[in-house]
Amino acid sequence: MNENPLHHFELHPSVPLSLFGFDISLNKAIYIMWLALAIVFGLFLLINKSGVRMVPSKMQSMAEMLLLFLRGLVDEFIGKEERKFFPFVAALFFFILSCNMIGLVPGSYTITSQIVVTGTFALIIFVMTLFIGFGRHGLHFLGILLPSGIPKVLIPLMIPIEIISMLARPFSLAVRLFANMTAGHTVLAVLFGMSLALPWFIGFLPFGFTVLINGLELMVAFIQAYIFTTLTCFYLGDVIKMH
Amino acid sequence: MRGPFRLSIPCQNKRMSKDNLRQGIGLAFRLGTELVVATMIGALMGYAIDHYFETRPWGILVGLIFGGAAGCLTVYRTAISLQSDEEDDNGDQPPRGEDS
Repeated sequence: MNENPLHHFELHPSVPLSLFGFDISLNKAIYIMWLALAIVFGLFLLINKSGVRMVPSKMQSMAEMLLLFLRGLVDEFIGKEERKFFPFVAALFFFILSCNMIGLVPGSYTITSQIVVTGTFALIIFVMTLFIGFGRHGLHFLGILLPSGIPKVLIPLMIPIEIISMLARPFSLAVRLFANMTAGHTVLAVLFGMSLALPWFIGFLPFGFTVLINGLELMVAFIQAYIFTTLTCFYLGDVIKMH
Repeated sequence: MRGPFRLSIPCQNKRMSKDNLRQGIGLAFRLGTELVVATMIGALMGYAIDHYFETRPWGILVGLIFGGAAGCLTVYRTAISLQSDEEDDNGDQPPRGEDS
């Protein structure tokens, strides 16, 4: 009853394993991650199996809508001739979305509330942008640190600022997703704790709020997945086009 | 209106600006963290410089200022690009070829 509202974020290994001295113990978060992968994979397999029709079924039209929306993002930020990034972007979006959504089911675990997970996503994207940038533009890629059209006097001032704003990108990606998910679930935990600790004639108030907050969290889960993908597209497009 | 620096965010097409609510919420979530994180990165880099070159407290001071500037710059660029998008939508021609 007087539980710490951050208690449900803690992870304890359920199957201790180690490989070459690395701790690869299985825990709740990993099971949920597998579940999220299985759900995304299974859903699309199901849609594909049931046949892609001219008059789409409910599931198919839903999937088509989301995929068209994501393709629009890729076309808009990266460019129409760079459609090869579309599978990556779509996979990222659906995985994050399903992770966020699974976290809303009571008793499960929100893996995106671990900064390790979101940080890994962001690091992969950052390293990818660096590789693409240096691969496509060579050393000209360093020109991204020097905005065009600034006075020469400002150059020593602008370069550190540009470096910081470049480095801040992966961090802000990771921190945004992590902080939003953690904050939402902490609020839910606090409200549930209140409604359990108070007598029923006041306790129903925070309990009613949890219903509202859950609706809000549903929206946040979608919006965060959307922002994460939009910014991924934007960062990829930025290094590809380089203005 | 064009800013003094290159636009960092590419033009967003009409389909995006139609969906104003989603875009607005997205921006609201984005810009807040952008400011905080850039300041934090600046401070961290300054702290690292202090640690390795023993220039305490100057590194962290300068780092904080640069970080804050970087955060403001990101937000400023987003605002500028939004503004020019709106002007593109009001005027009928969207000739923004040279930016992207």
